[in-house]
Amino acid sequence: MSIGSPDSTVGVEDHPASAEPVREASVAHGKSPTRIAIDRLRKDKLAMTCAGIVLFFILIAVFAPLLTKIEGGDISTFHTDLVDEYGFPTIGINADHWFGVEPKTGRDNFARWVYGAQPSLIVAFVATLFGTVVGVVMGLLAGFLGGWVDRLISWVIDFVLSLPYLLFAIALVPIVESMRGGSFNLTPDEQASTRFYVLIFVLSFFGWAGLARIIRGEVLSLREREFVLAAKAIGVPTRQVLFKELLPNLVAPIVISASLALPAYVTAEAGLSFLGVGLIEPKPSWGQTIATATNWFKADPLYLWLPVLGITVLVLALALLGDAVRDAFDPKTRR
Amino acid sequence: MLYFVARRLVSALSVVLVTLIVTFALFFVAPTDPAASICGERNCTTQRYNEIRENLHLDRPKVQQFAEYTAGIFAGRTFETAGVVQECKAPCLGFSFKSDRPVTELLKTRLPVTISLVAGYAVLVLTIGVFVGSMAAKRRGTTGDRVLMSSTLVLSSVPYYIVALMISLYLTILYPILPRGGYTPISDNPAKWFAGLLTPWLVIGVYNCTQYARYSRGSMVETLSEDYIRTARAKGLSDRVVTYKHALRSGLIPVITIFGLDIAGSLAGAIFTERIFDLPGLGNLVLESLQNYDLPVIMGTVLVASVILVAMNFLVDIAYSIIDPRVRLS
Amino acid sequence: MQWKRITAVAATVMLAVAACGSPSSNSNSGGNTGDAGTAQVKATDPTLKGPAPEIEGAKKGGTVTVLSDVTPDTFDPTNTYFVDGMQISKLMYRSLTQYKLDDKTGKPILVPDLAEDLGTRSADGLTWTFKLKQGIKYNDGSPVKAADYAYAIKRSFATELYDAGPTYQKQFFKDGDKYHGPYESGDNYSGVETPDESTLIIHLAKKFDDLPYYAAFPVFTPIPKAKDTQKNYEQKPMTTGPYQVASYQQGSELKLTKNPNWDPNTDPVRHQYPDGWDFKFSQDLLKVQRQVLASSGPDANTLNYTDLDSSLVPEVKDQSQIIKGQQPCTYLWGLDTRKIPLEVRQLVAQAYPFETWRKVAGLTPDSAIPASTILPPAVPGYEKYELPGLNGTGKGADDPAVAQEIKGKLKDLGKENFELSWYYSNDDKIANQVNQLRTQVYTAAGFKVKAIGVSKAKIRTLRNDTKAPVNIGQGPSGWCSDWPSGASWFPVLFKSDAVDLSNSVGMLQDKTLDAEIDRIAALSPDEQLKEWPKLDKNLLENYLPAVPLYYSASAYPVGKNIGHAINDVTQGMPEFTSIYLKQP
Repeated sequence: MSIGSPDSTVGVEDHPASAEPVREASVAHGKSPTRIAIDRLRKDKLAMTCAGIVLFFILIAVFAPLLTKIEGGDISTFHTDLVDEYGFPTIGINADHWFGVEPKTGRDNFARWVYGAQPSLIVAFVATLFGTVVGVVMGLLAGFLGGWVDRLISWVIDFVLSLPYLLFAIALVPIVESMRGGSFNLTPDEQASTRFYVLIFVLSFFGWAGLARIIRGEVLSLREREFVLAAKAIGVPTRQVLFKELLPNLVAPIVISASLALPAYVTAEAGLSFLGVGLIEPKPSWGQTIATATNWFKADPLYLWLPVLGITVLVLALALLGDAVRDAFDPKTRR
Repeated sequence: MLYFVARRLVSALSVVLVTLIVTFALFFVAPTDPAASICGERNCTTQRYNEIRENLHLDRPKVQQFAEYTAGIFAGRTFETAGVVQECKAPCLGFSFKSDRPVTELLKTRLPVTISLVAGYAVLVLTIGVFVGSMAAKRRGTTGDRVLMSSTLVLSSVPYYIVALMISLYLTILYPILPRGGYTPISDNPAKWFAGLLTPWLVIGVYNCTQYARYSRGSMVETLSEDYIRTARAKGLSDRVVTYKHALRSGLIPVITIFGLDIAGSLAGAIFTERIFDLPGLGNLVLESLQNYDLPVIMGTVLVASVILVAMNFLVDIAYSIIDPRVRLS
Repeated sequence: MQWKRITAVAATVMLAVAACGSPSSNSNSGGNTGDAGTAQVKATDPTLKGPAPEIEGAKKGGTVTVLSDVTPDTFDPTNTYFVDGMQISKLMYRSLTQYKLDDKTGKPILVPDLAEDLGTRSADGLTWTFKLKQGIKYNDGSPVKAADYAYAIKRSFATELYDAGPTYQKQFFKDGDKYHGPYESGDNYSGVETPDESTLIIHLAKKFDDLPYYAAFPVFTPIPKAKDTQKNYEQKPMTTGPYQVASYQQGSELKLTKNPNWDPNTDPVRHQYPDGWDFKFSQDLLKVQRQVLASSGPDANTLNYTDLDSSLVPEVKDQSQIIKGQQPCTYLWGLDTRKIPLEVRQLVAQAYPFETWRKVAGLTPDSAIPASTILPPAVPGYEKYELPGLNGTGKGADDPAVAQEIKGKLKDLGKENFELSWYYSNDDKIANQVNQLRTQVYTAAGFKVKAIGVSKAKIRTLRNDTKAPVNIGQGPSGWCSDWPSGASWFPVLFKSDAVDLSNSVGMLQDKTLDAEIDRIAALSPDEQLKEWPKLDKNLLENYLPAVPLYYSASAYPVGKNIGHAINDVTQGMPEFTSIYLKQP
């Protein structure tokens, strides 16, 4: 007697021992690993909260102009009447200035905070994305292919890591400015946007090398494993081995690196701003605010902790989300 | 094996050389003004300024300048200024524009400080970071794991300068709970050397252990679910032996990698630590040389940094093959 | 990762902040410059002899620690010109002359140091003769010879080697342009002569009546030729002052110990109270200033010589821990008189938003006194006057009513939308903010503003270009007296030849003015004191080459155990040579 198609129930009564388990018609055959992961994530309350937080920050950055309008402040008006002769704000949080005002200049902190999220987040995300993608690809190629590919890529990594990145950043700005017509012919806005792109480039340029080395190291270890050897033996094309076999096992270091990179890029932006190669006025950014606020941390704590809190919460959310993603994708971890 | 080492050596030298060339070129492309820094801000008349600029001899052909510089590293150089002959024995890294001290002397006095700082830091960050990461890995998914990871992450989101400054002020100066930062050469007084470095070690160690904790947690989570770990457990080995003796080994690969990069970067990176804890190390030198556009010192620090970086990466590669015998280096 | 820690957010390494002085009482605007109003009567005292009178309550002993965020690059006496280097040098190197600070007013009086007098000028002003004190010894006990004074002067011509030092000798001394120092041009130099052990003769190429003041510079300290190790001299220099160098690590630490061969009976100015000095450089500014203010434990014996950061002002519990005083500097905003007509210049000055600008620029009442004159109160020749609207305070065109008024006046003159242009450092945060403010305010006042942003490293060259296409902010942005005399200001900054030398404030090229300046400079020092204030007022009233912004002032924190910490008005630094520890 034929068993029939899996969805049929014919024959179950006749051959109970060898019968296929009863399945409902609406259920799919099997879930793809991605589906399983996403379902798991959806059930994880913490992960969902973190995703929500990240979305919240993105929305703040996107809707900065609207939010500032609601508050009634703006990023560039100097309110020095609200600041005493030593630069201390004479007011704290009030109805006009939801986060108070900046020392010395008296500019509105709330406006500068929401607007400041934009460049900081964009720079950090883009640099992280670029650095991660390039770093992973390079690391994979170097670790897996070995031979002259490895030697070449390792050489480039060593070179990139040896270069004094501060000097490089300082040097790059006028080069790009001159390509755009020279610093005399650029308006302050154009100069600011030039620096924006240069900064992203510099951070990405120096950021991928570290991750590439980490990935390379892991790949060196992984490529001798049985499942890789098996795949090679079967004749799976290299590209598939790299991206389908190795990459899933590298999710952990990738996620960790990205989550560590993000706050590091924001602070790097701060440091570079101080040395005059980061983002410049009048465009506000969390990094610049942090750079100035570190001097005032005792006298005007709010000024410092607001952007720091912004970064911390964002990064924490990203990191925990990343960990949850990693755990969700890993078939071996059962919770 | 010998062939491997030789090849790496050649590669390392070429990295260093190309880095030096690029740094040199960048200096002249970038808007730099070493004469202004020497002339100062007060009453720097144009005459003085122009004279200083001429004395720096930066207008000579760049290729010639670089060639002389590189030759000097191997064979020594003599500088002649205003009738005075200054001998610069090999390896000659030139004289600082700003202070006229030989660059080698500057590096020699500061290197031991930075090495002391980095050595202690390395010990501390490996032990704390890996320990925390392993603990979190064992408890993965639980609140304990989340708390451990979050706390280290929160700490490292606060700007380092603030953390260092506050600890220095509140724990060493205002309330002397920890010993004050400061450097005494180990040959002079080992006890004082240790005491002066303890607080900075703790501060950077704890602050930077986040990345170590996270990486070791990440790879330990993977490793702990491997079959061979299950076997070890089935054999009846204690939890501690399983975690630290068996799982840790392969879990260490990414940790070793970042350790190598970290140490190489610590050379020039510990600027705040040095300024706040009164350690006259290399970090300060790097910063000041950039702010003063002091080309010889910049080149000197880049040279040292580059050499240490390639050396560390080489050692890390060797370490890979020791830790994980399956790894084959090409 | 690697760059996580290379985020170099360093407290700004400001080299030699030469800021001008405010009176030593409380922190408010120049209101209590009472004593500065009177012209200096006695600026010199050629007969003063050692020892310096004991300071009441001073005790001997202990080590004073100076914690500094800046790093002097050298302590070679021939190569020292930075303010802190010069001041620290007073502990080690004695010169031909020196400054004594008047006990009551703190005003500087020039007195003989290693010379017996303040130099005798020949009739034509081209020869100066100094009588040298006898029996002076170096710190190793060897005697100081007349040839050593001559050698030091010769050494100062090797400016290729000592490129950071002052260069007045090249300008004024005979053959200053031909002689290149003893290493290159040999020992024969016609500009100095030592006919016997007690005489030093200096020959000039042109008149230099301020030479006795210049002679207070460390460049004149005696150096024995046999001990000249050129660049290494500063490691173990021959010192004649109360202290000698015990160890020096460039960039990090200078340790001084007592000089056993310093004879106080020959020194009318200095004291030797502490046993030693420990200068630590390259420290973090906020950390050390907090440390000094807190004064706990060994920190009570420390001090810092950078202006107190404004964020620390509320932490000052004991005002006596802050040294306040004047500095010999004025900061000016140059207006190109060739390109902007006088009436428009006056409107520019009227529009300047001092109140807002001071806050944005981070100028506090302690460290920046609003200026109403060119010469600062610290320099003899200053007399307080205020032209209406030009007193360094006020809202200027930040006040909408004033902005409207100026707009109207511009229209009346037919100069609507007159273009003002300047360079600013677009990679310096404060310069950027100041620029934004100025742009906003001047645009509101009816001007057209063209602000050109350039890199900090390039701005000096651009500012010194007299043919640059901008009309504000060119030339020196401020001036500090090398010595307390108006003659080091007006001829240097406002004569026609200053334009080509890129030293001009305002690009004035007026023959009448030149003649007047020359006339005053030829008078005796006491007569000059009466004439400079008139010229000062004349300049601002009828020429307005610049808007006076502020005089810089000292506000340095010292530890609780530091005694007799006063501001030396000639440099704007603490007077190290009279400090003692209350509890050694």
